Amino acid sequence: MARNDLQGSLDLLVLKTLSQRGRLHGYGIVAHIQKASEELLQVEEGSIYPALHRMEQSGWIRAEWALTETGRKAKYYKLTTAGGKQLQAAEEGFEQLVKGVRAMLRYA
Amino acid sequence: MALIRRMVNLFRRSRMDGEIEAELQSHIEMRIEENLAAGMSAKEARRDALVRFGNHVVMKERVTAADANLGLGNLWRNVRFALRQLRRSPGFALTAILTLALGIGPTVAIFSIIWATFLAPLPYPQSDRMVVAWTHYKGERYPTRADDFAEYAAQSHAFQRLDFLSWEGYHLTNPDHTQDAITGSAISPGFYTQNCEVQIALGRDFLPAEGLPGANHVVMLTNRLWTERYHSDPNILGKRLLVNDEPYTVVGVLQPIATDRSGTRFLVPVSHPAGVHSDDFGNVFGRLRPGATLAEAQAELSVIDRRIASTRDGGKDAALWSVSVEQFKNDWLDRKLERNLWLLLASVGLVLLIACANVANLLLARGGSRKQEFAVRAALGATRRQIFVQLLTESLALALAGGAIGVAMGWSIMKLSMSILPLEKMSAEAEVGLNMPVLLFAVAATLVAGVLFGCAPGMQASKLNLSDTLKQGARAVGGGGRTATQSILVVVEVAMALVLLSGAGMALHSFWNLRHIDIGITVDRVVVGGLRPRIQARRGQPQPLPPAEQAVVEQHQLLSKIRSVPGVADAALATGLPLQGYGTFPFAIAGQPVDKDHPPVADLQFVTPSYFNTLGIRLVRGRLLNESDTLNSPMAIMVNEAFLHRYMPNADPLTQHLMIAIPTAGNGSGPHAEPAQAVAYQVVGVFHDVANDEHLTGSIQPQMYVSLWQKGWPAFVFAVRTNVDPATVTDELRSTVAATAPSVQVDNLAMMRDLVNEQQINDRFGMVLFGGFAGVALLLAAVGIYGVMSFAVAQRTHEIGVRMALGARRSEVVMLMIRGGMRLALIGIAIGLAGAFGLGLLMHTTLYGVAATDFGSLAAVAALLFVAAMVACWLPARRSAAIDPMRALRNE
Repeated sequence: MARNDLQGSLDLLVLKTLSQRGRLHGYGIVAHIQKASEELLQVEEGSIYPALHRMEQSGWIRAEWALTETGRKAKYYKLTTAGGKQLQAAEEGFEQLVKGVRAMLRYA
Repeated sequence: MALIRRMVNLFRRSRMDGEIEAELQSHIEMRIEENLAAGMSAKEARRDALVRFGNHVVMKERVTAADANLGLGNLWRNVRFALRQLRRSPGFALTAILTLALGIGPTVAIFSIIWATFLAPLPYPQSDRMVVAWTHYKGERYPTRADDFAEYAAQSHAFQRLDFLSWEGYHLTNPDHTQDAITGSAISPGFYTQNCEVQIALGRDFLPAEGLPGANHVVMLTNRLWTERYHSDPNILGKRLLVNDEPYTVVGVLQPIATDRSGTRFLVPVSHPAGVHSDDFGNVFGRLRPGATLAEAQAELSVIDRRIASTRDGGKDAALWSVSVEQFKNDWLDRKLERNLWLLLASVGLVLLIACANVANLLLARGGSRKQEFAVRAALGATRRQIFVQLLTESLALALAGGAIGVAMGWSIMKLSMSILPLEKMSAEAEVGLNMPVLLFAVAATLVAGVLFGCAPGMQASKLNLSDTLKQGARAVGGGGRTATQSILVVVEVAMALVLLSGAGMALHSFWNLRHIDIGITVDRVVVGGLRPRIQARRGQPQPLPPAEQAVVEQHQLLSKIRSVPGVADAALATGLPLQGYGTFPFAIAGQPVDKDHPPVADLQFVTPSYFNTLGIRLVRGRLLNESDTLNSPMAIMVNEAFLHRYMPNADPLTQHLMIAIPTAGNGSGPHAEPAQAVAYQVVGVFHDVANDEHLTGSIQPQMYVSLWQKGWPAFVFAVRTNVDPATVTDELRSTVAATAPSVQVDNLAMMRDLVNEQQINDRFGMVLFGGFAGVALLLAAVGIYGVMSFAVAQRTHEIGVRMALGARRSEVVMLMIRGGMRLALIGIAIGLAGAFGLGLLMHTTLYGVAATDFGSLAAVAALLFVAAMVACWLPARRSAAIDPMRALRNE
């Protein structure tokens, strides 16, 4: 259960990032997550790639090769319609989880 | 779509690897760049980037896995692994595969027959618009009167065409009549080209004008006749052939289609001039107008038929007649046979289920010994799903191997079945073979079987409790769940086997009854044949009969010539033979009042006195007809026992006279014959009942025999008893008759034994197949019990060791084990008996002399199964007695 939730939250972070930033490569997604979470969320950077590829196979995101601003070849990811729906579902699920955990913690 | 992407990825594996590598590399380099920008040294920047990234190799593997997960790469790996596993235990694999083949083979065989017979579309264009109309009387379907057909054709609108196939036989002969006549039928002109919508291979279809007297002497040959008899002569058109002793001109040759397998070898046009009464009967074939429905056609013909019924026989039984319009299908089969085929399909389905249960049991038992392996794999990170999929793959590999052998086996069983069930009994259109639909069915059956028996062990293994299993080490302790599943499977198997065995038992019982029917004659070494007048029916005009005196002289001559054929022991002439059906001739018992509308009736036959000796008919009372009963002596008659029971149960038959009005031969016959005067016939003897229904199983009707020598009627049949193999005299018989009596031709020459066997064909077919499949079921069920018992003994070695160490005697241990197995068998037998009752209800109408609940055969098969189960339990249980307590305990 724990592993699934971790994976679930990583998916959520990636999808959310792509929905906010549009087209982004893996490194950009990692950097964005770290920056946006004020460095609170540290992921092992490489672990994002299995997640990205899995989400690509599931049809939530689409990938294409392009050049970065510095002229480096990188794989850019983009949210698909299915991915948008998945993001919505994941966000709702996460809200539920947070609410539940909060309620637990407040329970005296 | 994801699956397709994965499949594409599979074939681009190496390119994918490069791409993944490039992506990961570009990430690390971007991080280095940023670190450098933040002021780190080149070395530090690289180190930090790598640390942050994590284990590069692992990441790459996981990305690859994400791309290929659930994909074909896995499937292929699973398949290879499964094959390796099966190779490692060839004994298990072979048993499982053969068991499955035994289940799938019969299923494929019976399905191929059912498909061809009931399900396959007819080989004609838009065959869904082709219909058949049947006349029904008291619920039975009959051919239709030609007169009624004419009314249907004239008054209906739902049909594009309505055609008539006459049941009257036509005979094609060589000029000197030394060869067997070939039979043909009459059919409406245009049937083939416009109703069946097939092309004529050579020449043309009949023209509408050829359906009228005067132009009707034209003939179309079936492809088979053209090939076999005329060697595919391309110049056959326009040739003249002798049909019913008249010249007919060949106008066409049909394509090699269904007709080739029916009894008909050639066709002439039906010619019933409008408005002229005809005695003809036949089948009505229709092709619906485009847009017209079956219901419309049915409604229309019903209205017309109501009108006809009100005039039929003075409208007496109008309510009992009806007409049905049915889809033209391959449903010309005997209804009993049809029902038998479906029951057979159900029973081979059961055999397949038993086979599945057996293999599931085998897999479960094997799963027990592989527990360790699964636990290790799970510990190494295999998910439940992966283990489940792996096991399912193994099952499917087994199923496919079993299926392949099963199809080969099915082919042989099909050939065998078809040899017991001759083609003439099948509908002409049925093309039984291993065709596409049958193969698809085989594949489907195989896959279903694979999933069926693959699921149970898969579930079992994926529910494995990891730590317990690993802790217990190599000593496998029976999982309660698995043992329960196995027990249920055994119970189900035994129950299904019993149902099948009961079917076989009833079929066998029926066949036994049939074989022991007393038909009242000695069947062996008797040849019978028809004597067909050559100048018969010049299409509808009956020939005048010769005077009685002349007929008797000619018949004496013919009989003595036949008797002089070497090998002939005795011979007889008659008007009818056993098993050819009966007539209802009215008579009166002298001195008793008669109800004019419903006089007593009995079958009346003229026979030569030698008839009794030739056929072995037994005398019960009085005397046989003999040579002193002649044209000038007082009229004598013999009756059968059925006659005696029905009409003179209390009187002494030998004192009775029957008043019968038989038209005298030579006096003219048919509608213009003078009404004959009733004459008194002295009852001189009573003979033992001779089967006179068309069916062996029909009830025997009251029958009267009068000597042919007293009436001079034409003899239609002859019978010969030989003292050599009857097959050796047939040619000589034929030529003797041809030389002695040029006015008749030998027809339908047959061995009486064959005629009787033919009547038993349905039952033989049912018995052999039911028996065979039930045998397979019995074997499988016994193997199933044996397997589970062996497994139980192996599992309980430790427990048995303890028991014996504590003083249990070996016989007690054996009894303990047997009790366990027999409990399952008995529960299975009890459940199976319930199923057998149900099967009896379905089956007994197709059987002879077997009640819906056939206690005898039920008891027999239950006992048989009990014994088989006992042996299957005893063999492994005996092994438990051989357990050495010391070793069993030391194995701890």
